[in-house]
Amino acid sequence: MEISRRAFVKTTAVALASAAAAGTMSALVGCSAPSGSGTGQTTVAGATRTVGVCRFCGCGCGVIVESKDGKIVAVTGDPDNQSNRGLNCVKGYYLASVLYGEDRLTEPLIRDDKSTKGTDGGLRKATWDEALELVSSKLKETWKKDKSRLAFWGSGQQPIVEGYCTAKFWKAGLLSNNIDPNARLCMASAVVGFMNIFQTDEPAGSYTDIDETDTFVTWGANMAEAHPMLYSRLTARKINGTGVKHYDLTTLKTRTSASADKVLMFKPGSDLAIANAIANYLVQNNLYDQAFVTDHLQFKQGTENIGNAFEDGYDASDVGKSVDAVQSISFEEYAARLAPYTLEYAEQISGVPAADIKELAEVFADKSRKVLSLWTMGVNQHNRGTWMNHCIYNIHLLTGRYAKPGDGAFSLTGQPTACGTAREVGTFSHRLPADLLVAQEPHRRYTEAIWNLPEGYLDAIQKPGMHTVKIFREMSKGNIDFLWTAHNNWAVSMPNLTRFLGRGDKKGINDTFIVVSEVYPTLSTQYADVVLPAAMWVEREGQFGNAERRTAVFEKAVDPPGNAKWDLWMLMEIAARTLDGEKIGSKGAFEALFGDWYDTETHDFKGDQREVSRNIWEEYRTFSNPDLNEKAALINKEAKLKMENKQLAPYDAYIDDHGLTWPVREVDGKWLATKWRFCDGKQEDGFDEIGIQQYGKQDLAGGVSFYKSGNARPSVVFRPYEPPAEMPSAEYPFVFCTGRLLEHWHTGSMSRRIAELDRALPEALLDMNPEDCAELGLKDGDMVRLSSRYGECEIKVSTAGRTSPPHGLVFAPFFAEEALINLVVQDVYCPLSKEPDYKKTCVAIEKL
Amino acid sequence: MKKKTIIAALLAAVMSVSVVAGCSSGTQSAASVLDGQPAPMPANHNGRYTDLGPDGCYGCHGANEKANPQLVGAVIVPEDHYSRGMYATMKIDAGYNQCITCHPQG
Repeated sequence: MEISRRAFVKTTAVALASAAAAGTMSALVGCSAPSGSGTGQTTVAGATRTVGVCRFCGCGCGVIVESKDGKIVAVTGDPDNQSNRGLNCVKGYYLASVLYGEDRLTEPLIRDDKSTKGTDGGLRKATWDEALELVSSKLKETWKKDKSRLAFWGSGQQPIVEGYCTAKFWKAGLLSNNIDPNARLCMASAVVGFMNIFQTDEPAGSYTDIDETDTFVTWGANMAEAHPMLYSRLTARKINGTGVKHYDLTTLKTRTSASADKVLMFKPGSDLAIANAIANYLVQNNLYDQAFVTDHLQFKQGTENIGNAFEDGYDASDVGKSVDAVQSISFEEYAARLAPYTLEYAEQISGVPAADIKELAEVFADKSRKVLSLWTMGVNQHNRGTWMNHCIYNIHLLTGRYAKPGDGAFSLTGQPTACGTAREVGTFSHRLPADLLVAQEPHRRYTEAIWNLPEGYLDAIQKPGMHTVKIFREMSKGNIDFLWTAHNNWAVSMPNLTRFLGRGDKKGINDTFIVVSEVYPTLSTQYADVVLPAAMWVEREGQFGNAERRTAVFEKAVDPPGNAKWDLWMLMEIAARTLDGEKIGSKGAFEALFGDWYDTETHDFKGDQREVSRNIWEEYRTFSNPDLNEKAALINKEAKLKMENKQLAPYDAYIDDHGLTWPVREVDGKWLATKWRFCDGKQEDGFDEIGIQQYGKQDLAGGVSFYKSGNARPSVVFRPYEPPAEMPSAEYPFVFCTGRLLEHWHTGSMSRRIAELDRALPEALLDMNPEDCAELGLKDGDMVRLSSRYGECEIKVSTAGRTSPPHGLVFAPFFAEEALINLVVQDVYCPLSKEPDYKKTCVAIEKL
Repeated sequence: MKKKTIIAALLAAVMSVSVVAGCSSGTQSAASVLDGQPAPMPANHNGRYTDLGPDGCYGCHGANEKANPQLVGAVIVPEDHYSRGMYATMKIDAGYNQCITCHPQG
């Protein structure tokens, strides 16, 4: 029977359809048939289904968790979570495995002999009572002696109610601002940029912008590896749309570059010049949106020639103290400041052809297109990270491309809840919940009202505390006596580990009493005096807030193993013991802060995890619903705080709706999410109708109203190009860039314990340009010593092209403890945000 | 039409009993794979995605005008990866075009 191949293929499709109808398709589909995903049904018979959020990145993919007989048996994408609509990435799909590593921590551990720090021995099992007594006694001792010598280092992975309570304990209980999250290392530049420009944190748009835009501009962002679900949506938009373009601005080619119509490869740090050249082109050629400028913007310039924070004393120096200062200027003065940034000048600085920069500028000018900029660490982990955030917003504000569907500047978040927790509940050294600042008197009064504290009580914390790098620099000098860390692995992720791990001349880490709350043994637990075993992910109920302002709940699905406990329980116990005998006003301090939720007699919560989470949430959401508290409502009105800008819904709405993007507004008894803040339109369609009615103005250019900004005018701030903290030299001729790759999350403490992910990416490699290798006599697979003025490490070379660096640049991911690349990385930070520059350390490479 | 119907029936009969090669690639044991976990690419696929992109996968695993998994005994892409969740569309949903996002090199 003759048949053409074409006919055969068509016939096969018919057969496939027939087989599907007959139910035989499942025998043919891949071993991991996710027949349940996308349909909402369980894949495993008899399993209990709970709603969750992925443990890993800032995409915040919703997941459905299935558990049976006390164990998680399946994790699939949640089609009802509007962030990902059922999509996931490999890490999300393997979440079930992350709880079951063989060496899971299940008992508290105590180190009796400090000389064993930095080794994988020296820790003995202890009871919870012994561990908690030790921790709280050390904390209290330090607190009473000198509270400048204690610190908490938290995380953008700490669930919301846990972070909220930690902030409350530290700030209202201990009256200390020495609390900072690892989000300082990822989002601080974005945060300071937002606050400087808009006086409110977090993006105005939503992931829906990806589906609506015509042009993607990725600025130093390897989304394919670091925001994989969103990258799938980006490429889907390119496939489904007509004429959709992608411009990739990057210092090295990555998997993300593969979808780009044009790759603009720039010299490290020169993105500032490129952005200014684009803005200059728009202004000089009258291609900016004049009506938008007139209706919405104000112009400023700030302190310049601010140097770099090489020295510990930088922040307190004259220049360090001046970095936040700005002055108002006119539009004409702003244009004059931009004028030197010709296309040719930008080409000279960046190496990007002037014609390409012009092409991109013209895209921004093209009113027939919508343009969406996306960025994270390439912009934020930058010695001028805040300035670079400013420069991207400047372009978007000049062209009126902000807060509108498909037209926006989207600062992506790295961690699952750097937004929801660190930024929104205020576990930063300078913040209070809901964007409030310790330094602002009305903000302290407002917080006192909600926390039921005596008026003036929080004046004791009006001065910001130590930011992250400062905490670790001070610890290295022996100036921190007590450090508690949770949901992070600082011994692998901090920069300049040679200093901070005591491998250089500063050995302070050996004397600090360090408490590490953890789920697995890590390099950080090797330096701990006490290790507290924590419940992991869905072993307790938690809440995350992702990059598009979506707050979502992950339900408890299984119990933690052994004696591992909920982090919130540990916090309550330590707080109760530390505050024992202390008073706030006429009330016992612990009772005043946490008495509604925790019973110190029974050592347990007043209610199950759902009830407790709900009750804590209700207090927290008062910050953005001032009408729930009479005193707060009055302060909100008198001080014009506009706290409803971040309005949150009641707790159960987040479970019922599989997450909601704030501000969430109550309309006719329903809670409606907002996709586009400051953009007028129907609330039920995702626009900020109610916010604008309450505080904004209608019929302004672009249909937006920036009601939270000072005078309702976001600030376009001129920021010049200033070079990286160090430039390649004869001694250190390469620029070393670090980052993440798809298969592993951060320091790999979870993902490397998943066999499939470990097999997929078993080691960290140093990606090098093949010609650089040839010049150094290196070949693929050779071991090299990577050294900088900060330290050295050993790593294997790769020319396989996972990333394709240009001449003079090398890249490695930071997930591998055995390579420990952060021994080499500078701890120089953006002077405004205090966020370290992980992307531009100068190094030498030597074959071993 | 009759010829095609006969062939379709024969194929359906074959497929209902055949073992698909991908499942027996040996990269995952039944004990390690939980439901819903996408299989990594086997070692003999090294570089295929980076060189050829998603077309390099669809060529063997997808059902469309160009592909026929049965010719090479390849694992068939699950139905929810298809447009509107239906094999009959013979078109992979654009949201699933980044195969390597879920199926890294094993």
